Amino acid sequence: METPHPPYPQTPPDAPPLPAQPAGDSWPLTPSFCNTCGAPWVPTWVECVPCAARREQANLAAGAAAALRESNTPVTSAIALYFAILACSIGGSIAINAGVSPVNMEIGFALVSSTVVLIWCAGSLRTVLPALRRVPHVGWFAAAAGGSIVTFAIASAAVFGLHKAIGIPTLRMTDEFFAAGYGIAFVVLLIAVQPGIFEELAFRGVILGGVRHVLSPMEAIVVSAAMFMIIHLAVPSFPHLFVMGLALGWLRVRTGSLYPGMLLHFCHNLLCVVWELWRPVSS
Amino acid sequence: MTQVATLPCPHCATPNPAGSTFCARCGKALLAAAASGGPRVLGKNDLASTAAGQKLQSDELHKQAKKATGALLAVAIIATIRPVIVYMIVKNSPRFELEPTVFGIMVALAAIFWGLWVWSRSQPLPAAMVGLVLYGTNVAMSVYFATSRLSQNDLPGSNGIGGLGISWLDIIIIAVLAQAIQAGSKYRKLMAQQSRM
Repeated sequence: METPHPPYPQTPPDAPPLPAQPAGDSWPLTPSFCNTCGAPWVPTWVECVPCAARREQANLAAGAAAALRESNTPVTSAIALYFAILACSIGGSIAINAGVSPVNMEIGFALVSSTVVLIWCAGSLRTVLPALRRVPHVGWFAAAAGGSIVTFAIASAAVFGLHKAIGIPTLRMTDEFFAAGYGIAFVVLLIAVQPGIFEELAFRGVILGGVRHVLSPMEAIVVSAAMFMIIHLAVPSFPHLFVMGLALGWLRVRTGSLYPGMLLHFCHNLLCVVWELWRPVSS
Repeated sequence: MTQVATLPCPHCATPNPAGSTFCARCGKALLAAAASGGPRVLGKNDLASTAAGQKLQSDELHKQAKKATGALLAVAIIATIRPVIVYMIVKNSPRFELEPTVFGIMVALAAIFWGLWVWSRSQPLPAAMVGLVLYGTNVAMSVYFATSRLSQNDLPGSNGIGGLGISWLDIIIIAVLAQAIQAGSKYRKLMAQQSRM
């Protein structure tokens, strides 16, 4: 219901009060009651104070209503991306069962999952682009490279410890690639570069950015680290993957950029490759 | 003097500007109360108009978000019972063998779900997100193993609905967690706005 503007001096509160002597004498010089809400009119008012308060509340309520109407797309999109990547993993296992060689499956998985991640980034540009635009101080890149040594040490200790404690086998990744005729550059590209870029885009870009709409920074870091941990589908690796996910998430939040995390992830995976090539094949 | 539309007060006959609801001189209502068209029905995304209504709305959302706690408790209990049952089957039947790694994984998963349950009691939303992802992954892998017939130990009850490897309880748990995430997200957005009001 729109009430037309009454002809009393309805000036904004910060304007100087007008003299209460309007021309014409059809109605009282100053009202005794507000025309809109019926509240008793205090003579010093230039506008009805209860009406102004109600208008203020209505504006705030409109803000709350807008928040309620806001769709939950960023969160849904984050969780959907997780399951899309999981589907790629399961697809890879199906391919192996169908007779595809492990090397070809890894290549296929890298291609398909990268495409999936890119599609999601395209749909979540507003979430991901700011993190890609910002390039932090070079000190952060040095910190990331140094941090990768720490995460690699933690991962190695965890893998070695579980191997010694309950006999969980340590897996080698590179042998099959060399046997299939691929060189070291390709192995580094597939094992270090591709995950470094695309896992960061997915887990720190789309997922952390998406859940950040409804979670605090700390919670978002933990949730994205948990998802990063689970997607690798290796429960014995959960502890060190979770720690690494926390470190990567913290870098993303602290610097506002995906690049230090990408560097840390790349260096960590590169160290894994180097270590594997350097040490003799265990019996 | 220009002619302006006026509304005479039925009580004191004072002319009032057109569109007024109350008389400026005596304060009484000018017109009979207009029909409001019945009570306002809230849509899914409407905000209640009174403070009391908004409190009811946010309480309802909070209740739905807290359902995640119940779902995660159910998951934790199931995840704990499973290794117990496996252990008892293996102990009583020479047909089945138990790999320590597999058993360790079952125990680890149960521990994680208990941890998620504890977290959900204070912060249901993030715990529900991780719970949905972990349990959803669990379900997906069950479906994969059941349909690819890879499981070496054909444990009783492992084939679920239509041989898909999941049960109705799995579907209910996932639905409750997804709903809790929706409600929890709305609740947080509402709380963030209302803290400014």
